[in-house]
Amino acid sequence: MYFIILTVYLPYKIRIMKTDTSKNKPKAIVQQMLDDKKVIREYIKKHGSLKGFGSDTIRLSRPF
Amino acid sequence: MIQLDSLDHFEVIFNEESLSYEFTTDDTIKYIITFIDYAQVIEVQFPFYAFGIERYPENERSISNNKVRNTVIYILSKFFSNNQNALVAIYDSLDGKQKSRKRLFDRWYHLFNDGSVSKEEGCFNSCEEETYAIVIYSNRNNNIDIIKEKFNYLINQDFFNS
Repeated sequence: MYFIILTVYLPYKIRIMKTDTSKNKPKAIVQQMLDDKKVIREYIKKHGSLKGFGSDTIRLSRPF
Repeated sequence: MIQLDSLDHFEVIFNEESLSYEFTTDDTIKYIITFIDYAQVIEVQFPFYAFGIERYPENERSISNNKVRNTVIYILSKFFSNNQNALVAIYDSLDGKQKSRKRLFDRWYHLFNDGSVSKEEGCFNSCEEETYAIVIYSNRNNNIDIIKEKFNYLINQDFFNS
């Protein structure tokens, strides 16, 4: 699947890029894992626990 | 092989409010263990979690290292009591100590694995740091091939190649 993305740079250059989303997907997933980890770490560092932590995207679970 | 039942470990509680497992050492260092559900993100139909372990205060270490180790192993043994669970972990690399963490976990793995679980490992470059990742699954998991395939799909990418 391809998207055509128009980007505009000063002074008004227009660039057309083709993006292969299938290639970017695993990178995005791994990056999400890293970002989620960082968010949790920062929260704990600030608050001492995860009490009050809420996120629409980080699905904390109880597997056992 | 050390018997997991005989391990001296700290009491683990599940915090319903924060959805995390916690234990506190005798010297009041708190450990917070998280399992983040990525099944939907990775597009699998079985339990697939990312494992995280944080310490508070971050820069303090308990003198009861072995008991901390035992407690983490105890938690993982409980996790794999459901043999359909799969777990991925990325060794933290923000402080540059990811290799040490990997070596430590490798030691634990060889010390405590009774043959019931297996792992795949990989590394990638993130922000110009070599970063290690691991996936662990029960040998009785019905989806081993998919687990390996998904893990390799995630790891064997030219990460940050721009």
